[in-house]
Amino acid sequence: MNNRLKLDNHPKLKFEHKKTVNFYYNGHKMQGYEGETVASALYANGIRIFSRSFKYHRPRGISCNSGHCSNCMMRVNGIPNVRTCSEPLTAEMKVESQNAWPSLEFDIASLAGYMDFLLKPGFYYKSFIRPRWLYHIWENFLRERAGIGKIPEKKIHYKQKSGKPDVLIIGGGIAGISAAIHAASAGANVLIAEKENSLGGSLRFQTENINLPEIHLDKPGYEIASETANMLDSYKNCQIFTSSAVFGWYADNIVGLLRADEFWELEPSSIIVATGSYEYPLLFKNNDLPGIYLGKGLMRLMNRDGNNPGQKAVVITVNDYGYVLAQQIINAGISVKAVCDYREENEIGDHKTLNTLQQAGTKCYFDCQIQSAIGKKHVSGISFFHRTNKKKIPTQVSCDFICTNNYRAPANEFIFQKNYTGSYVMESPYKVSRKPEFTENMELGDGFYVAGEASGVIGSTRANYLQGKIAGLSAALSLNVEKTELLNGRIAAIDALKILHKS
Amino acid sequence: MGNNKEIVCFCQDVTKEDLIRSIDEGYDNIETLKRYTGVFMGPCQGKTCGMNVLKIFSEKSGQPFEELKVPSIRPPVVPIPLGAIANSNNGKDDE
Amino acid sequence: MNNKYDVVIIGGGGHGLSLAYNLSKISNLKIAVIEKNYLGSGASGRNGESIRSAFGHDAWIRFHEEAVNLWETISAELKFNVMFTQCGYLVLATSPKKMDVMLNTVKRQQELGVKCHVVNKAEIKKIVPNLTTNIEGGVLQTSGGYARHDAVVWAYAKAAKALGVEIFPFTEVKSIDVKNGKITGIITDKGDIETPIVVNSAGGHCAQIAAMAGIEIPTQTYRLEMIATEPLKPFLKQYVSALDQIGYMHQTARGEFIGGTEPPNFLPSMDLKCTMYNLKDMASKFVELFPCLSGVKIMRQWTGLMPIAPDASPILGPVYDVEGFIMDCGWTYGFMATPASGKYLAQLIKTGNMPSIIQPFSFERFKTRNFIIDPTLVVEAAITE
Repeated sequence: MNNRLKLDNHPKLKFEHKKTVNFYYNGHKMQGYEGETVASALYANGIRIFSRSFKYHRPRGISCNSGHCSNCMMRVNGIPNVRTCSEPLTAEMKVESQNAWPSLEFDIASLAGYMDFLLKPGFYYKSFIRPRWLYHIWENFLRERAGIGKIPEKKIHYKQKSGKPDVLIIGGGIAGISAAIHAASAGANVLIAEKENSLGGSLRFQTENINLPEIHLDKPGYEIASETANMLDSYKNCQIFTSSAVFGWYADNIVGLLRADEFWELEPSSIIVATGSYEYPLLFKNNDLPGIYLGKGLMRLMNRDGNNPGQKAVVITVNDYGYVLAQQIINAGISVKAVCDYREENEIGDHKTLNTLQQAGTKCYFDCQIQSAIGKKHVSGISFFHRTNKKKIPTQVSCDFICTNNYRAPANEFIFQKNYTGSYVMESPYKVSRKPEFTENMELGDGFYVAGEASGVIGSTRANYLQGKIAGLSAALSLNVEKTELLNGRIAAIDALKILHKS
Repeated sequence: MGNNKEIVCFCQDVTKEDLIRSIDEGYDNIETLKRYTGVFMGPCQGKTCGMNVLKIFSEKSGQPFEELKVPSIRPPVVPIPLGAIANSNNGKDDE
Repeated sequence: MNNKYDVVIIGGGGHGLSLAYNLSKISNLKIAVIEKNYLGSGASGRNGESIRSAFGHDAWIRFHEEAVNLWETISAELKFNVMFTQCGYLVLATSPKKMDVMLNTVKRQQELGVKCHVVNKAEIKKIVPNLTTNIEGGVLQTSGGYARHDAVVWAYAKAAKALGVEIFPFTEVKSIDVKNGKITGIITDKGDIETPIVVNSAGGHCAQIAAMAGIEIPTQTYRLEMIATEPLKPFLKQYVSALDQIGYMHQTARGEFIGGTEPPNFLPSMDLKCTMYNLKDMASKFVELFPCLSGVKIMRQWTGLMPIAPDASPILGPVYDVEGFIMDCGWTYGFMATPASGKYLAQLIKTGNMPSIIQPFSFERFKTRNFIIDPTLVVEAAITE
């Protein structure tokens, strides 16, 4: 596999590839590693455009790389709209692009982008009213153009299963792992469900050191992820479900979960929501070009999949985490040409990382207003100006790819599927969230807990760990297990969290 | 205009400009705006556009962000195949 | 908000707004529409969008045939394309028993002018190739189809506003004043209104509104759930409803497959939270009818409320115990009736006479026990003989 753009010389990470298998993309034979994501395999084969958008047929590439957005949907083995970024590759897989003619690279329908004055939202309510026969012709045209995939050719089969764990933990990031360890060590029967194929959440792609004094670890994130996952693995009363999507908590008190070819109906005694947060794209012109990645999406692409996104990067950020991302791009042996921060220089908190970056030759711009991403089918640069610059003279930086780092908003849909209340909070122009109401025991309601970034408190790894511990102990306590020791543990964790928040 | 678009809703190609115009046209409630433009209703189920739409809506309508109501969120949280939920013993299989 | 109107309509869904529009078109009355939430927040924005007239009871057929005719003209009249498409409405039977029901009704439908005919298994295979072959047959109404439900609400709201109707969303009715057997006004959370006429278009909440005027109506509110899938290229042109599965489904212009079913042991409730019970029922029935949907993903599930009278037919017109209180409720197929109910109730309010086409649906029928039972309805819950 000579043309694979893999990061096999990553200075910090070692990628253990499974065996090489053949697969077919639009009939062309390609090679990839068994078990990596389909998107990763395509990317390594040089594919950058993964889909065409619904209306204007704009080219779209990998963006979130975690199964949330609709950018990478393809037809896989006859099933439409499969998110290739979370579908594992198997031998002889047939992957086909959707909604483009003649090809994703060159799609005639993308001319629609120039007719947008005719295609504004709701245009169909305002046009073809008279005569009626004209609407029927128009309607057929519209229907052919709409829709993304074609219907599948074959049926799928799932096995029905059910379970009644004491504690169900939704999400296997550090908060979920911590909750599971503490609930399981108190004797509860725990089921932890993680959407991706391994536990650890975003720590798995974190190459910087993280200090977790509670368990005496001060190591790169990916090592903490695997060590804590191994700790959890030793509990016999904890079932670990990876590649398992919890899809809903229904009014009839059933939690639905899909895992491989199994459909589980769960009736847990208590639930801990540790679903983390979503990243949102930044808004500027051409913010959807292939080659513009969401921060953690890029981390997955490089540090999980081992793909090489290019030689020159630009990072756009609204908070300090952007500098950590830039550092990790450099850790992978890629140069970061510029960091464009929306904020003013005096709002920066992480001067240490900023200085390291500047010493490594990265130019840092502050008070940036992004004008536009440059490029037609793939990003090739960024154009921005300083807000204080009255003439708005743009600065242009050329690059191979852009990493955007917007605020993250909690992924707490489960909480609001039931009657729990909450509110939207705007902490700064760049930080919004949706916060549920919960007690200091991380309790949302009877037998229902939250931990980690899903709580709306976007904090540090250590805060997420502590929240997980409090929630896990609370869930165990609700089961009438041996008390005093747990209560003391919980009080200690609550105090530690308070001190952490103050600092 | 043209191809330089500021996309808010990646699923249905709704731009920031589109949202502002729709609010001006009188679709000035978040529920109505959703139904008119299609934001929140694409295959990403609002995971890509959600907060950005709310922010634009709050800025344009003058309604403080904190006062927006958290709606009850419809399942499923992730799209799930019909065949996974269907009771296969129930219907006759006619492949 | 003024404190005096000639007519106050409670409920800002399709029905309330259609009535407001039609009434202001033919009269100079001062009209207000009061809606608790946003416009179209109730069943108007949650239904299956179906439009047909091939029913099993004369009163239903006549009324809905008139509605279908009106649907053909409303986009032009309201200057808003509600995307009404006459793609055909197929009622299916998978059991011989339900097939007999249809064979018994289709002749009468044709006599009353409905453009429909019986289709056998082979013909269905041709027009809906993705449908299961385990079917008996069906009736296809070529003039039936569907429209975009939200657009209907917006179109009527816009047109009514242009004619001077005042619309108050996010306003809740707290009570209705009745003096000496006559309506005198209503009290809302935004102020009191004097009015001699109140129309009850409150959808799932119609019984509570009626109770405010001291009227007990025999409806019970049920919850129905629906699902929408990810958008797909066109694979289903017609509107399909399945008698045996008690289900209804179609593919929208955007490409989403949308449908709902009524599960067994259907009980009254007003809870809008979704259930796994309904989800499993829908998924099983849709995969049974369209095996190709097995690998297609569900994107949304939601619930709407449906008030059902003992005979599952709507309740229209005055109640004789309270003068000035007019019913437009108990709809099980309310969406498709939107243009017609507005038109004829407007005539009723203007002239004081009940138009003959809606006469059979009067409130009186519960006293005289002239129930209107239509055997072709895809609703089974409440029917009591």
